[in-house]
Amino acid sequence: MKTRFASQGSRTSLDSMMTPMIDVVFLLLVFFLTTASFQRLEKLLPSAVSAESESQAGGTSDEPPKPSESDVSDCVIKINRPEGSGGFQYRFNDTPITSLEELGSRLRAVIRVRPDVPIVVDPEDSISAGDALRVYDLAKSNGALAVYMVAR
Amino acid sequence: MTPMIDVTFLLIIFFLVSSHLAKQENFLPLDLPSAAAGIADFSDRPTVTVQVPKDGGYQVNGAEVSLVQVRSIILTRMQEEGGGPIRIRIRTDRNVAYGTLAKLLKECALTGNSDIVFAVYEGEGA
Repeated sequence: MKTRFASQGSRTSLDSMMTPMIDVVFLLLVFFLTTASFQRLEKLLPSAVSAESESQAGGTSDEPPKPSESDVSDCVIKINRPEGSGGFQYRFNDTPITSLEELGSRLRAVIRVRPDVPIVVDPEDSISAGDALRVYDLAKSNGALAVYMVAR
Repeated sequence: MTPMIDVTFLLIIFFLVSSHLAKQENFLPLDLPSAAAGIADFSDRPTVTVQVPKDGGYQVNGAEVSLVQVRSIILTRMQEEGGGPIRIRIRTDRNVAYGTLAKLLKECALTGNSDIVFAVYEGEGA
């Protein structure tokens, strides 16, 4: 390389300066092309498990707690999708709720009173993971400290 | 001097890229759920990743496994890491039925691990 440049002394200095620059530019191009991740960035949603079947077996009865006291002691959100109707049906401590917005405002009201209230998300088996985690995320992003997914 | 710098840069890039690729090895392309409360993963805790594809089944390290195997893999990994609790990362497709996940969550809970995380995409709801 060097000898050729030396033999072509008549070349302008611009020519000899171009090559390293192109080298570097190509290098940068390759660098950014390969490091650019075309995958979407994944984040983590910390979760916790509530083994409902076991905790119920250990308790005195199989019935859910009375709504009056469970309003402050813990919140169970059941999710199901009734046949025929297209939407979801949520039950917030046995109170039927039809929209996610209403569920959100109820959650906010409870969390404002007691942020560490245990919230148990109990979707039916047929509910998709995305819809179950959306409710979980709703509770988390409204500031709930203890949100559990039911394990069966 | 210039060729040496060229080569050095090339090596730097090579190692940067290969370490980047090593991180993404054998991850299924899944349509993860979206969540607004997701956090970035900076922890270097020992982690077992269980993937739940849309067509059912569970995968650990690229191999199809049963629920019983998931449990033994987690227990083996816990022993390797000194017997303490480890992190279990669940990469699930958003269309998987919750019943499938609930069984997996129970197996994870039965191994005594409570640090269970879901891989999600950042965003508002699904």
